[in-house]
Amino acid sequence: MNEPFEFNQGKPISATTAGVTVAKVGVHLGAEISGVDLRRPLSNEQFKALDDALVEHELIIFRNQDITSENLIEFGRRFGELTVHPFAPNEANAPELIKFRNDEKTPPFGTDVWRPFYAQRKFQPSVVTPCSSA
Amino acid sequence: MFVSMTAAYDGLSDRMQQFISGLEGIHDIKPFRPLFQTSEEDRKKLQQYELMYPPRLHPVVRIHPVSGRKVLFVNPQFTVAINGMDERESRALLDPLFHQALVPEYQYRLHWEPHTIAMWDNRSAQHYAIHDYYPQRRYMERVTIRGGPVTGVPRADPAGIRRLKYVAPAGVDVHGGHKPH
Repeated sequence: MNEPFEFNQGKPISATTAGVTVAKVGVHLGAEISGVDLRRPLSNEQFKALDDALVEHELIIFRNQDITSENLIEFGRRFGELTVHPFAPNEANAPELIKFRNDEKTPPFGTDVWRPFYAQRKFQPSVVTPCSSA
Repeated sequence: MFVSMTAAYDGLSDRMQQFISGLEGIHDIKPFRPLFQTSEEDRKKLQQYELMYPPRLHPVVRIHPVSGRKVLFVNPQFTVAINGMDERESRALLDPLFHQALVPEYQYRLHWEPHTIAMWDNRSAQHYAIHDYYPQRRYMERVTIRGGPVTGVPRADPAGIRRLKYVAPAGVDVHGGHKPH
């Protein structure tokens, strides 16, 4: 067994660091983040708060972030180098950006299976950030 | 839908945790084959991907590089067998391990709204895109951040009690994906 996660010991369900509020929403994973605007660059303190929350909660969720594709790419790059998917639909001028446009003409393909991304690769991606658009 | 593979590991019995420690899964893109058509062009494309992404060995129990927590690292999408095990044993072992991701207590189901962003730690969580919206639309954008090599836990059961039968196909980078202890 893993020892109980030390970050969690005696920690309240919601906590604020550097103005970033992390509120636990699931038992084993999931926390909602508020107090940060992803249209603006992250300060080092904000980045640290999000990075810690990601490791501790495994899944972090942001609501009402009306951001552009460029904001998403910039946000992702704050956490590390972005990878290019070999065959997912992506942007010609920004190959690291995958765009899903599932509608009546393009039904979704086999995504209904449990997996991490790219498990067949030698080096594993650490973090994935999809963003729903309006 | 998301699942904590840390919780999935914790939920296994001590005996099972011990047994799977040090085992390696064979991860292959073979299950993606149905995404390609039978045309010559598609078959060539598939061959190219298979050359680019040969099967890899990854530890069945990996260690999260930041938290140090143990994570169950197999999935029904890519894990086709357990290296060094008889094929039937391998299938029989993978079945309950895959099932760990289906335990509702370890999952979180996200309700998407416009302008929702989800960011998950691919080193400890798995995801499942539920097909419950079609023909409604699903528009989203995604970026993926590069990770690093995968570190596993050492073998916990006595060595030499199992006969090696099923081994990785020739050409597999045996310790390519992680540092063996």
